[in-house]
Amino acid sequence: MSGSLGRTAAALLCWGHSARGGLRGPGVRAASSGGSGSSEHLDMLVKKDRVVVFLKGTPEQPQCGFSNTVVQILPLHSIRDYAVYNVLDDPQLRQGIKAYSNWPTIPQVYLNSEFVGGCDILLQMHQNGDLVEELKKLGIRSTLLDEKKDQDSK
Amino acid sequence: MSTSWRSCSGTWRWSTWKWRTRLPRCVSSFRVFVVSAKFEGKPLLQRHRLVNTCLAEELLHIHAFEQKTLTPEQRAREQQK
Repeated sequence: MSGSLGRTAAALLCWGHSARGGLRGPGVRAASSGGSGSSEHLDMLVKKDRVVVFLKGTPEQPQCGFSNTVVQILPLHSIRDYAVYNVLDDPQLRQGIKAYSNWPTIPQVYLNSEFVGGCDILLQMHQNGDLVEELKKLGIRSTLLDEKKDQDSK
Repeated sequence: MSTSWRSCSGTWRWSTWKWRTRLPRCVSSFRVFVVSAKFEGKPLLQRHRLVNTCLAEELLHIHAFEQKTLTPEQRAREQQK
């Protein structure tokens, strides 16, 4: 009995079940209210997970074209379990992350606590192969490497 | 959704740039193309930050912004393709 309860709790955590209640979907986190825009809090957020994305909307329902592009690119590299913070839910977070990153727009992508850039940088890195290399440094093997391998062997 | 395009180019400090605005009804989206020798040896993020610094005032009022940044050599190579 306790084993099945433990497995249920683990599944809920994996699916990003927030303290406020409601299933938010895989990887979507809720920045805590109060001080969510402070640099201390944001410092904690970007260090908590290897891949962190600040979006307008969610991966299931992005609210801008650039945010949509980011959530389309990440799964191409087998990144499905990543932290997502919806800035539209929290104006303090939205302003705070712009100041913290010194970057004027959303979306914003962090890899291994380091700011990578927005949509156009991520897209260029995806197109020129740099993203595959950066993910390798994090110990993430992009699925594109396997696809390339298959193509080369044909 | 109706859109209108404005296109202008000019010489601005150390670079040439093209600035296109797309003005749909409720969102302003900007795309900048900058060619500059100052980008030589600089990674993408650093290039974009340089442009952001120059447009700091304008960016306070912009929600969506894309940029393409090339050195003169990269631009010449691109034009040859």
